Amino acid sequence: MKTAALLACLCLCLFAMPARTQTTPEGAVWNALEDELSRTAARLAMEGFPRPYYVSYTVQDVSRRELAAALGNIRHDLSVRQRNFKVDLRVGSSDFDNSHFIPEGYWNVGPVSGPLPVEDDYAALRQELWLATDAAYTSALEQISRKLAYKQARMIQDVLPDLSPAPVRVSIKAADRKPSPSEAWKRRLEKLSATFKDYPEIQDAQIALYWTETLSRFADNEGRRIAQPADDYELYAVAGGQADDGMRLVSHRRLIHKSPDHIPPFSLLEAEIQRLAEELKSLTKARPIKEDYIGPVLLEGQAAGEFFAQTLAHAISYPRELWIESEDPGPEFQPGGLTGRMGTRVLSSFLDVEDDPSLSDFEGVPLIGGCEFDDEGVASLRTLIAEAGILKGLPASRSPSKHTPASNGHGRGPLWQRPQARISNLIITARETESLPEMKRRLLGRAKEFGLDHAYIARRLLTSEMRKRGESLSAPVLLYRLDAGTGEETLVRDAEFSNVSLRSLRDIVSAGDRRHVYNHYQIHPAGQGQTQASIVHPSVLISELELKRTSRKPDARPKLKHPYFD
Amino acid sequence: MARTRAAALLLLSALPVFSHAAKDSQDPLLRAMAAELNRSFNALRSAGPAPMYFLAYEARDTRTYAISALLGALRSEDEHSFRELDVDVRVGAPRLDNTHQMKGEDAWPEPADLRNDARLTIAGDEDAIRADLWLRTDEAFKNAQNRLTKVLTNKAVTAEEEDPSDDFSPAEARRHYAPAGFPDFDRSLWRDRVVSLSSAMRTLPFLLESDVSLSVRTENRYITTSQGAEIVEGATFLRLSYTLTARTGDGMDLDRSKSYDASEFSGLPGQDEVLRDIRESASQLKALLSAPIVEPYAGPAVFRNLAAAVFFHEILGHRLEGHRQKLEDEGQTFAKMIGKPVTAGILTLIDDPTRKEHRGVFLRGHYAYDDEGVRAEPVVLVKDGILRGFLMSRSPIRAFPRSNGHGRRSAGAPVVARMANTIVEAEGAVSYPELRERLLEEIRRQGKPYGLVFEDIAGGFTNTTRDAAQSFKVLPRLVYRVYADGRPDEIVRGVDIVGTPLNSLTGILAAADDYAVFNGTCGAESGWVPVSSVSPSILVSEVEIEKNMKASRRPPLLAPPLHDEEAVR
Repeated sequence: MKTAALLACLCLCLFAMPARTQTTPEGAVWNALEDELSRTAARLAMEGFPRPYYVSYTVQDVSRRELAAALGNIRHDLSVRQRNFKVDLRVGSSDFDNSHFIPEGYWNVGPVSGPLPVEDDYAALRQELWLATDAAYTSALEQISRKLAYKQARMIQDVLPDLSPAPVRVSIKAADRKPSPSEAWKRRLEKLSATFKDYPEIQDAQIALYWTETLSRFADNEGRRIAQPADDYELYAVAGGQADDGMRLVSHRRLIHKSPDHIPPFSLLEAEIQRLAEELKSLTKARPIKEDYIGPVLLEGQAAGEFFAQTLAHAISYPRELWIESEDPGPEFQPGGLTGRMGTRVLSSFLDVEDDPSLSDFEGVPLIGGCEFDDEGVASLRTLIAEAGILKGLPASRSPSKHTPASNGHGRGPLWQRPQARISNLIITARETESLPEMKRRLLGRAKEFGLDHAYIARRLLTSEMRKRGESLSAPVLLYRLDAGTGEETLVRDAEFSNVSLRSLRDIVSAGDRRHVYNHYQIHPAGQGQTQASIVHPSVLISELELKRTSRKPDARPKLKHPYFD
Repeated sequence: MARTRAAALLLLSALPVFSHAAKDSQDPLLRAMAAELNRSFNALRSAGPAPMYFLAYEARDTRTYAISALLGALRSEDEHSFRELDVDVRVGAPRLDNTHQMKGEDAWPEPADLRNDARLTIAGDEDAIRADLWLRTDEAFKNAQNRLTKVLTNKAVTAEEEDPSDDFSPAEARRHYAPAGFPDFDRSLWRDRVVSLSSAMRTLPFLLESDVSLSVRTENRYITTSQGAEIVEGATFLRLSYTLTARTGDGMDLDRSKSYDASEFSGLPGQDEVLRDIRESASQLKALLSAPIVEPYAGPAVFRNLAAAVFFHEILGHRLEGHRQKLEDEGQTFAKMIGKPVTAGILTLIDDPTRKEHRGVFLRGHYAYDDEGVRAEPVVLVKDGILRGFLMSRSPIRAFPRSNGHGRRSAGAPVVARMANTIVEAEGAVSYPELRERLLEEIRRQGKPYGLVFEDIAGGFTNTTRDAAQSFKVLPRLVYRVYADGRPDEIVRGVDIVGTPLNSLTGILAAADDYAVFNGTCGAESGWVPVSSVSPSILVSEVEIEKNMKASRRPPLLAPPLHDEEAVR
């Protein structure tokens, strides 16, 4: 019976993905997983206590190479090969188990996770799985009793189930990989980093390549068997300097790819690094923003992408509320701010949003947020998020929430966490669009309505992990003051956004006619891991945003000149 | 961390410095350090409100290789290279500078403003290295100026110090160039050896965790100072080690482990020797699993040589670190005991970083120059039970105005005086069987039901500050109960040794002639440093033991997969 179901699934997968080789789960790792899984399901029990009703293992084989260069020289070179795993073990039933509860004194009660031997050795792997599973069982029994006590003490009546049913699939994909970066990449990084030798304004700059190849295996006692590659090739360049008044300035570039073939050709990288250097040079000469501002702001390109990442994407993610025993768990543990607003208007009415994990590119530009199966072994499905600005759906994992009773394959997260629902490829479409010059005219028109003689255009924001504590939207790096009279743009520095709320998503008054791809890491606010994510978005004009001068204070400039330029 | 002068001793290895063909003038790291130091010192010495009178760089250029195996499988294999930098800036004057200890509310733990570690450029390009040095120097210079202001205020508003010594002592500026190269060895051969040793553990059904590891570490320290010192000293540390752990039915985690340290691969033991040791450890662990728990007790005891070495390191060594005699929050157990008895009269204690080995056994605490670039010197700490000296860095104390080359640290921490090779020598030593006989006599003399033999000690904690009792706790791993009435020795478990230093050290009655070397890594406020401790077995008139902490986790419910016939392929 079980075998028949398994074969049927295999056939389905074969049919769905003709391009890749299909094999049944085999080899030492799968054998160890299968055997420990069936032993656990059949025999792990403590007298007088419930037995596990759900067990899953995730094993990730990671091979990582890190290279970083500065001033034409490799400054960091690291290779790491690891195999990590987690076991998610649940006692009770799918209606009430040990998950979704953080007892007092904990910041997270995730699955048991840790390293496994890198060698494919059945005995050694099983030994480690055995110890972790036993620890997970004990911990699960303790958690469920505390959770039950919490439920009774707080007289909670409205209880959501803890694990939703989902179709069982088997899909085994081998990783199809290029050789890891060679000497050629070292030379390229050295050459790229040497760009900064022409810029005495830049005090410290680095360009790094993080070449991470991961094969992820998932097996659970419900019969799911998934193997899929989860690769990440990241180029990260950062440059810092100081203005004459000592204010520190920083700008960066982050290019994330799922395949090394998607890394842009060297000439384009060179041009991008050149732009970064020029950018910082102009910033050191820019004037600080003069006065606080309330009025229309045009967010172009990366700035609009980062805006949507920090507002919309975050607000529709993590829909499941956790029970937290602590009196003051902090806002970062709350569900995304829009997850309770199903059926209401959350965006301007000319905007439609969907999340489509199946897309591999947008108009030829690669997207990184997609996957075939999520971290719970559930097939990732295209999901309508908003129609004409009305919230219609949410990313969902197997952790049910009020509006997401079933998974749509968006449960993802790091190994030390149970997966949470997050975006994959978020596609934002505007029904009405304008060209950039039209948007600029509209920007100035709006500014005049506010009685302003100028308005602002943001073209680059810091990423969310560079956001200051308490900041609602990260600070602009490239912010231009647009003079209403002359139409002249002037770069200004030291500005921060203030009081940015989800309201700003409804204050979008115009969208550009060109859409951009923003590939980034979606970072959980409580520091609970990052996942690859893409947002396809237009530039947007927001009718009202607040900007103010930063409260950061300058640092004295170095007493001596940069030795290279001295 | 800074407060808990805990010194959990682990094992690793160090040593030989083969002179390189390369000249110091061609070493790009040294050239960059010298050039930037020179530029910075000249330009910054009078650039701030207080004069900068001293600037030093210490860079550590490290390469490591490590493999680990579990039950006959490769667990991990890693190879890394990295560089770390410390910048030491002193502003003011040697009499009183920015490193001066704060008292009152501003006292320990020291905030980050004394810490200036940073990763340096790995490749040999001078420009890139100098750019890093420039930014770190600037930061350290500003922090130093800032701190001196605080020090001056703190000194004005707090009471006078007991020890009015200067903050910095003069030292001869030396030049020394002896980098070490990373050893050339057959990785696949060693991988096979480590994996093969770990497969011996597959037959042991009572094991929870187990591990066999090899680590190879070459560290080159580069030191340049504005006083003209220029030191490059390299060392290679090899360590082969294994660990076996198990849990008793009452929830006590037990382990047996062993490490072999050397500076060259030829100094590591052969497979057969390690296998023999693994088997012995396994049988000890098995015996421990069913061993009785000892009740709190005080009575005569023998510390076997390795256990005694750890004991002296913890109980005596840390209290002879020079800066502890003047820091205002320190217990200063021995500050005013120079010329007075501190241990039994049969003992002499020296610390000698210049020794590379002891009776043919590798010493991990060897170096020629300390982390302040001062030439290492042997120092007599205790002679025939009388306190004679302290371990000194360039931080002088009353009656000890100069460094004896014991200023040490790991990257990122300020230097303090530390142990290197601590060697206990005993007068009138007897053979170990005779020492054991003396123990039996002592049991009878005191009318005690039994005595104890501490075979192995994992490490310990010793509190040297005033905010808690001047006590220590030592964690034995393998303990035997010894009866005077002819009953066989009995393995026991579940005890810690507790005591106070002065009592414990004067109660030493005799020593054997069976010197052994404990090679470890010592942790204290200046970080982790390689050390060795050498001692014979000793007989102590009274040792107090108490019940130890236990994890209280029950053993796993299911049998180990390899030993569960129903569930293994």
